[in-house]
Amino acid sequence: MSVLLQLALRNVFRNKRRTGITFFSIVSGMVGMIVFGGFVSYTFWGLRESTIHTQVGHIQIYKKGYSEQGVAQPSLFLLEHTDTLFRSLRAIKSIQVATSRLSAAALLSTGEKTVSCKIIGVDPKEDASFSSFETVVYGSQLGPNSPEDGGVIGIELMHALGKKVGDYLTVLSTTKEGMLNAIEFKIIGVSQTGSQEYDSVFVKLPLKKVQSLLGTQGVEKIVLLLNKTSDMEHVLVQLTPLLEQKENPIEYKTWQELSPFYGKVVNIYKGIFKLVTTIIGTIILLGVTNTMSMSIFERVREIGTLRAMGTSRQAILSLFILEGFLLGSIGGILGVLVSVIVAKLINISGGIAVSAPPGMSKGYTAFIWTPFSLLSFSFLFIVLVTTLSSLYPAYRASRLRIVEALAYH
Amino acid sequence: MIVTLNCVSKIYQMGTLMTKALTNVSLSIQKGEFLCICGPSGSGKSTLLNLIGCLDCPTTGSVYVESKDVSTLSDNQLSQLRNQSIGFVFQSFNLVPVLTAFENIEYPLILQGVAKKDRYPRVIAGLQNVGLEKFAAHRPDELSGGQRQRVAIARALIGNPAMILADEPTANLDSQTGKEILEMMVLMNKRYQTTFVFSTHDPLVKQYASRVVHIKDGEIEQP
Repeated sequence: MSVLLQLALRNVFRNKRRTGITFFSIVSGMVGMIVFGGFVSYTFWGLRESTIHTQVGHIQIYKKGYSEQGVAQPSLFLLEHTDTLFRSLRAIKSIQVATSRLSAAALLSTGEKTVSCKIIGVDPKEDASFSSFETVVYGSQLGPNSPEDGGVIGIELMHALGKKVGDYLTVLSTTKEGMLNAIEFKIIGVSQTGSQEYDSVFVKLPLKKVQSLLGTQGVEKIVLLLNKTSDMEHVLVQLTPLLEQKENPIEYKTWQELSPFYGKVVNIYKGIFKLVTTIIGTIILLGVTNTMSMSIFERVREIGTLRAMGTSRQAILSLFILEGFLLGSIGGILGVLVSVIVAKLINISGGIAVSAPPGMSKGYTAFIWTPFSLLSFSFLFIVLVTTLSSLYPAYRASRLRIVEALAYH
Repeated sequence: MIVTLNCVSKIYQMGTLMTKALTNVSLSIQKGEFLCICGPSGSGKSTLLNLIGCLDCPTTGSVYVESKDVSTLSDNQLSQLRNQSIGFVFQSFNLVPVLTAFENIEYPLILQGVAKKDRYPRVIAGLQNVGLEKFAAHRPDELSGGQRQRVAIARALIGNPAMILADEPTANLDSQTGKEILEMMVLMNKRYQTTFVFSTHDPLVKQYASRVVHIKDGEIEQP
């Protein structure tokens, strides 16, 4: 072991009480940073997966031009004769489910009350995969055994209409040709997605029923659910040849493009995390600078002796920077260990109950995730901060005049 | 000639106050000398030793150590010169508290770049020289004052320097231990022909010196 490293390591533990206090501040800062970071990681994951599994899927495929003009004229941009496309999609192994959807704006009537709504035609056989983050409050979800005239509505919509499971509702919309059309369905379930806005408009019906309402055999989009969200990049590459086919031209959008809300939430949380990290980093920086300055103050004569024996200024500089680095490294390892234990204790005790965020209808229980990336970032951040903290004290130590240092009492 | 000082003066400035510590000092020290710089407190002994030891620069005049004009050397070159040519023994021993006796003695050899396998026998021999081979693993706070000063002497000698500078080496020791330390320095001087320059204000110490230089108010007194 290099003599400087050996000296630095021993000097770190020379004043055990002061080093203990410094480690305590480093560990406390890291626990705060990692637990908050773990909470944010879990929240990102929860929001991402609930968005994907309740509304949008991972990727949505449309007829080419839909994104630009489909909102104004949806009936002109319906996908038809999709069998070949489905065969190609099912050949991609990372795709767990590929299902058709047809949605439209409509009016929902009880006979006495009429409200606007969004009808979504889904394939009942495949819908379960997209409903795993929905909470069925009353009745049941659409499934392979659901009645053909059954439908599921959002809980806020149910409250607005004052209806219950088993009641019938009428949906009015216009057909592809512009004719007014209506169908009746039976409420078989009431569910909650977490998004208050969505829960107050959605009506989920079997795809065939919506097709008959709108007078079409086409579908608005094909929604893909992947085995893992991390498969996105790989699947997008495999979709490229399908985009270039001429007979049935298509385009796609990813869940990030379809959920700008997610990006905004991520940005807000990342901003808060940066602020927390900066505050913790500043506190640790000041603490370690103080520790290093005190250490130098107590070792002035020793520094003079080392210099008298021929130790260069650079070596003195390196010695104190090394001490800061070791403080950070040892404190960082302790911090990671304690943070993981604290995170596990929080998770074992049932997580943290979080009240409903703005725009959401229900709260959630957050757990603390400690992914390797968060732990390694926190560790490297602390090592960097403590090393930086030692720079100025180390510079001062290296610039001490030998004669004055030797005469210091 | 190991050291030559030509008309050296040293003035310390504290704010607007100028204090003359040395005035026109000229001195030559030859190899193998056991030189005592004697004088009362504040006479300039330590300043003179600091200049000889390349720890400080003169305000005027020139200092030559092993024929090198120290004013022309960079900080790194001065560090190298101190490491290879000068050993220091301090009044307060100045051992590194986190290192054992063995490691304290070994330190100058590490700075010299001596390989580990060559360092070990030399450090053991150094410890034997000062009669502390059993205390190799002891840290300074586990040693008596006399033992610490012996370690300091072994540390100063380990790199085979041309001279050893000792600033009042017996001041913090009782008279018996001080006598033992001085006798040990005389022994080392004779055994290795190492030049010793030490400062003291204790007249009893003078009897061990081969030459005594008296200093008063920053000037060398002529005999």
